[in-house]
Amino acid sequence: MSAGKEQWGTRIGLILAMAGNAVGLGNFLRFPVQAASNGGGAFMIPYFLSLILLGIPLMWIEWSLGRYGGVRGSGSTPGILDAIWKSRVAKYVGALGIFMPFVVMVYYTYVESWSLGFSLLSIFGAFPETGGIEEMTHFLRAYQGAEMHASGMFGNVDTGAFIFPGLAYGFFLVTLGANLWFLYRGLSGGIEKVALYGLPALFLFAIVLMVRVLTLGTPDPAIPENSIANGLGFIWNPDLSALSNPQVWLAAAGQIFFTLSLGMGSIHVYASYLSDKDDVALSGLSTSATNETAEVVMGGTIAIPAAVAFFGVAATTQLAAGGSYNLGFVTMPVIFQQLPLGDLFGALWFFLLFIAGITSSLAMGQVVLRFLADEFGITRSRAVALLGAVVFLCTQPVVLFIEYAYMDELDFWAGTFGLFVFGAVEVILFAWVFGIDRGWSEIMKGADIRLPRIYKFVLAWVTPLLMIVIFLTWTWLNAPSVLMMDGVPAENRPFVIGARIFMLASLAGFFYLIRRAWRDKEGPRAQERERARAA
Amino acid sequence: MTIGGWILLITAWGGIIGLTLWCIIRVLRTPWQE
Repeated sequence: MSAGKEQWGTRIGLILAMAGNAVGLGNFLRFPVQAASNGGGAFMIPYFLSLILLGIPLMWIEWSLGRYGGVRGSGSTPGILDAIWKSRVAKYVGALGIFMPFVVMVYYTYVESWSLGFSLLSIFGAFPETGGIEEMTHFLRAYQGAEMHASGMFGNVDTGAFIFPGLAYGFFLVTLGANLWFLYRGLSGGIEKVALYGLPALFLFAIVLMVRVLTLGTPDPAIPENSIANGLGFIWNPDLSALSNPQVWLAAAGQIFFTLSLGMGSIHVYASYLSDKDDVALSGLSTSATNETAEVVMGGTIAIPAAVAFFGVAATTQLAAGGSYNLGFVTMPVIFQQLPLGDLFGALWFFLLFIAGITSSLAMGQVVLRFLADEFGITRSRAVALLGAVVFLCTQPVVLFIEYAYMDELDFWAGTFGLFVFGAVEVILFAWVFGIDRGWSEIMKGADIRLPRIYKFVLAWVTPLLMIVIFLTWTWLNAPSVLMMDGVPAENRPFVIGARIFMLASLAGFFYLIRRAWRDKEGPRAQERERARAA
Repeated sequence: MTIGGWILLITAWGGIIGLTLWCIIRVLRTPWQE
């Protein structure tokens, strides 16, 4: 069966699947760190402006482009861009919309497997009993196979930490297998089912954790400033002077862009299963709103406020600077260890992250499957087997070289920089090449809500110009130092270069596949077939 | 937490939760057009 003939079973299932695609680890880990380090409550002003002027308009653009392509038989971005832009390079630009989900899936599935692993380790009380940050850092590194105990065992056997070689690898295999199984089950039988059960469970777990965190009060009465009220204040107290700093505006716009999974290619694919009569205006808005609830209401209330209540503002600032993964996989388990029923709350936290992860990685996998089905007519079972084998092989360096920044390099170019590039390109193509009049009527086709006319102007000018400014400024500030490997230790450089070679090879591979697919579609043999069919 | 912080928190939460509920109600009340 071709993936192109599939469809969503229910509208709520589609919206939950789209929301699941958007809700990821970033909602619970990246957002609170960004807010706390960029002016607290003042960050929310550029954040919400970006949501209204950048996030929601881009969401409508991607939904309508996906539906436009799907109706014409192309659900992935090479075909979609080829349909809206009559240029020979359009399909190759569209390759970014398959390349990025593929590369991100290669490392994201592994990180997702840590959540599943830590969820079960938490239930079985396997975390270090002494429960310090340093201890937990060693535990995480041992779990990843990056550190070995002096006795020759993985992990810190003295503290009873239950780690043995290959544990992380085992959970990775289970996670990849689960992803492939749900992808094999299809759009409504697999992806939609996971979203229909997973998203409500994610929200339920998040509410339980929110209530637990909000009732922490002052865990240590001897240190009254370490309280949950101050934790919320750390995120929400407005430092209005931050508004004069362009970096804060850039951080807010970047967070909106990442959290909604824009510029990735996955929204297009999910929307490509809609018909011309189906609404995209209300559905796109609903996806954005659901994601924001998970981020602003839930993500902002769990990790950082809890960290402030236990460790204080200064230590939390330091912990947050250690990165999102440290906050999620080191700080949070240490906090839960200090609570009654901590193992249970820890398990809920990690399972919540696992649901957030798998609903996103399924979207990435579906992008590749849809491309293979549309352009090569490969059946779902074969495409799933192919995807599984390739992702499995490509993840090996991620697992083996975790301590040498191999994954960070993939994350920067495919999971961050590439999104800005593709987001900027698609908004320009939509507004100025496809044309805003056609674009606006495409968004309004079958719409269940009437959008304010001002949004036509926003889509034509504000969103594209904002996107270009953000892309150029962000690239100027970040890309040169990463490209030149500033601050990368000498021992990591070969692995960073290896990651770049892998990405270039993947991109070249997708270019080759696109060239072959279009040659078959447009070449002499295809024309002969057309003539024979007409005769 | 300052008064300004509470005002921002309540406004943001109210706006987001309100918009989400409005969307959910509209989606549930509008069937597929197919």
